[in-house]
Amino acid sequence: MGVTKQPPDLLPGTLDLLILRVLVRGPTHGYGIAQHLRTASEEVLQVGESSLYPALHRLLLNGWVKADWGVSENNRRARYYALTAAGRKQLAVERQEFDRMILAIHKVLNAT
Amino acid sequence: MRRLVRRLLYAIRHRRLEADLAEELDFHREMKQRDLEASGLPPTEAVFAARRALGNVHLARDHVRDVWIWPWLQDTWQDFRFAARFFAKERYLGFVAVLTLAIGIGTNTMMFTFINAMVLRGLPIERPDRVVYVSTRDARDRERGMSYLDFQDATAWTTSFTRLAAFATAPVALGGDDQAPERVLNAYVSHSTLRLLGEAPVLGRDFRPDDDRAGAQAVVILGNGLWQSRYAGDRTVLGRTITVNGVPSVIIGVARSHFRFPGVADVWQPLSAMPGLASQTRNVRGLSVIGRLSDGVTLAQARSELDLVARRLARDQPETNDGIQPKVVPINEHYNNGGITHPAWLAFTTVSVLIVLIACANVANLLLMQSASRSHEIGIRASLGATRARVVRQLLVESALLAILGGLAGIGVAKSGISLFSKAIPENMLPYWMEYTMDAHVFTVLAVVCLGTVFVVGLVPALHISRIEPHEVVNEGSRSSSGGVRARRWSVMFLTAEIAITLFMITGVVMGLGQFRAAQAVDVAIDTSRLVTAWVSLPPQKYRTSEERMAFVDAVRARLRAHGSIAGTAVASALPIGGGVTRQLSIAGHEPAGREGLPTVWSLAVDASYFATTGVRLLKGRPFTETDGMPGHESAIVNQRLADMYFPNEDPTGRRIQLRADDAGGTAPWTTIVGVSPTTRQRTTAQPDPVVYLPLRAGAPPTVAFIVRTIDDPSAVAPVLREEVRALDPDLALYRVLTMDDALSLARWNPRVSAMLINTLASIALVMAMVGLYTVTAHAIALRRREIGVRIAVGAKSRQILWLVVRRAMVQLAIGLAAGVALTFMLATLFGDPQASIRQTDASVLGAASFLIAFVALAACVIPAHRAARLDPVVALRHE
Repeated sequence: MGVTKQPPDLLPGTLDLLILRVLVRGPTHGYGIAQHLRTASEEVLQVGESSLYPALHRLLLNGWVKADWGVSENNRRARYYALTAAGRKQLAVERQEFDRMILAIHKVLNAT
Repeated sequence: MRRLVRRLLYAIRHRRLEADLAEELDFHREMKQRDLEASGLPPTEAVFAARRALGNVHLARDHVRDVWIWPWLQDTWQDFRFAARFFAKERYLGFVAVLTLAIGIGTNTMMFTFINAMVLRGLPIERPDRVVYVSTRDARDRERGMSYLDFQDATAWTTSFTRLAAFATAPVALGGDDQAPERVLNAYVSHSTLRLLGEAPVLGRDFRPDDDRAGAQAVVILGNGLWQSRYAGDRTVLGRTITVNGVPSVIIGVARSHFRFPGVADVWQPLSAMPGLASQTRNVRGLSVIGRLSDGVTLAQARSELDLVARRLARDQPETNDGIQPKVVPINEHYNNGGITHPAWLAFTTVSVLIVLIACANVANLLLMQSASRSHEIGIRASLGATRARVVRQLLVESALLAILGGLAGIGVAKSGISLFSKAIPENMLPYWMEYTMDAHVFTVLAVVCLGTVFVVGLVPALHISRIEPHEVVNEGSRSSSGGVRARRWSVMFLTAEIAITLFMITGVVMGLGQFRAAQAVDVAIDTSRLVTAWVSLPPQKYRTSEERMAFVDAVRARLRAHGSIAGTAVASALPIGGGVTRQLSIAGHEPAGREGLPTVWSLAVDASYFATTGVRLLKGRPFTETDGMPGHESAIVNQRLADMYFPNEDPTGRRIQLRADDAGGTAPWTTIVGVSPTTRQRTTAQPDPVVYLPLRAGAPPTVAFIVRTIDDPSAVAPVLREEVRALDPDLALYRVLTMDDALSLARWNPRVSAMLINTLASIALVMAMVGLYTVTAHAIALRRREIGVRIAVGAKSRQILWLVVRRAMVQLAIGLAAGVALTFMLATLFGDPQASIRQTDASVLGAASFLIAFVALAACVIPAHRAARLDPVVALRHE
């Protein structure tokens, strides 16, 4: 069918970072997060539900996001995830760490 | 910690949260399907495509669950297994730690079981918060009961109560069936009492209003225990007629088992069956009153309504009710032995908490000692990537394992302790609800103590160990550097704390022993050998007057005199240290000090042969004769204590005194003092009471004690006594037939058991504290072995080494002892009466205790230091 493609392996921990980043735009439900990840990455990142929801719950457990029931754009009950203050802080930390890591990887790859 | 809370919340609400997840995944699938349809896929295709795209829903769910529960559970389980393996390897450490915690937690649980039963639990009745106990206070602020007439007025004039009930207890003789008469405790209760308490007979019926009327057919409800013991649980006893104090009464019901309100009642009769009640005047305040508040009525409202009643009665009946104030308290406040804030209970609580703390300190110290040998293991864990939190957690799980095992073993310790002390308390001494059972409250406290133990025991060693840096371990040479210093700092803290607590405990032990001896050593001033005592209650229905009762007493004495095995017989209203009645003393020729000022003395009635039979030699004057107490022969004998208090440097004989009852405002005869006894005791108080003996003939009470001195074997005299009493009156039951020694021991049960409890607590604490003190000190020295080795290697003399070690120990000792003295003084006031606290802070006791602690602490540091100093430095350096 060609509808799904095997998503490339993400670096460990990056999914959490990406979710946090998506939520900066405002509270979103799980499907919305997956959609946004796909469109924003121009169809490169296709996150499976079996990794998306555990990741969301991991964030819940750490208190970085909170979840509330709301009504979706098509008038259905949906669970909206929102960033907490601790989540915002965590995003900044992780982002910095990620940049550092990417830079390091680049340096290694570009070394002669 | 927050994560833990969230996990727990998840665990509690997991059903709902999983339903949430299912709905969420459903929504996800639907959205996807919609998008697929929008992109042009036919609807049937889209359904499957969406399902496929979603993948395995169960897998997603499992993964979510894993986030919350599984790895955490797995890690914890792993930690527990590791802890179990660790203690299996370190069997000695594990055993000592669990044993110490078991004793500490067990003692604490036992103590809380007592306190719970005596103070906290309260009566097992329906909504006890709505039930109040009503009594009165007289003009001298002494607590009194209520009179029958006042009770009737209060019932008629108040609306605050759905029910108001009065009761009083009295020993009665049960008979009229085919069995020997038996003395039981009867509670005369208002017909509504059981309903007020939310109680109903298990068999038959409750009292009805028409049972509780003068002239009604006498009825009786049997207690379950009596029903079982006397009638073997026979259900046909209902409707049978038995005699209660000779009055034929119909059995109408059997109470629920364990129910013995108001304390240890065996049978119940309506209040109106109480002899002489109807003729009682308003100043006979012998009734206890309870009431159940009407819906919406507050305690304050009930109080003010009863205040109005009291004011009205004071106006209408000034000669009996002037100055009488009502006192209204929740029923459990009346029966809670002074409440948890009473100094004695606070003292018990303090001691039992200290015992747990000492146990924890000892175990924490054991673990700290172990830390030296574990630093390697922890260092490797840390270098392999274990976070500090992870290491702390693992160590906390270890202490949790110890706490759980210690708690479980502690239940056993508590149970055996409880049964030991329960046996020491004579039967029928405590009200039925003060049973020493371990209920939900006890187990809650036990769980809290165990949880607290985990942190007290585990946190310090865990935080200490987890600070070990991997490089410290990798670098072999730094083994005893910073880790050792930190461990020593903790040890010093424990040591100082233990010295302080130990000093406090030892002082407590000495004081406890002192009180115990004081209770045992109260000089009863009589020769107890071959003395037998027995009680008989003469039913007022049959023996109406003092003369009739005296005639019976004379008849028994005459019959006993004929027996060759009996050397002498005396009759009294109370036994030595068996209490008596309090009376207000007036002395002829002394200024009447006004209504407030009359001193209180203890009084009892004794017959002419009392002093001869008990072997009390009068110091002055003469004993009573058979004519004393007859009209014109009003006489009294006082004890030396009274003579010292009110006739200093005078001869009391020939002086005239008057004893007035507390509430009978009427007159009492003036009596002449004819003799002075030694300082005899009717109570086991620290200070002896002033006692007045009155002749039995002047007023023989319905309940009298026979005191018989035998020629030889005292056990043979009991059947003789029973036989002679029954020969005179087959309805009478002789009871509490005991040797005088046993009777005295029974009378002293309270101070005896209290002292036993204090001694046990203090001894446990003492031994644990001493063992702890020794191990902490010895351990502190062991940590310095290497340093000592270096010092010797560079030429230090062994005496210098000793001084070095002892000097430091002395500083700790001084700080600890100072803290201990401060603690003792601070808490001294908690221990019972002020006299005891003065004794407790007595300098000699504190001095002796300090000396003992100093001795143990110095021994604990000299012995290992000596050993270390004698070691070959090379060995010492290699030792680690």
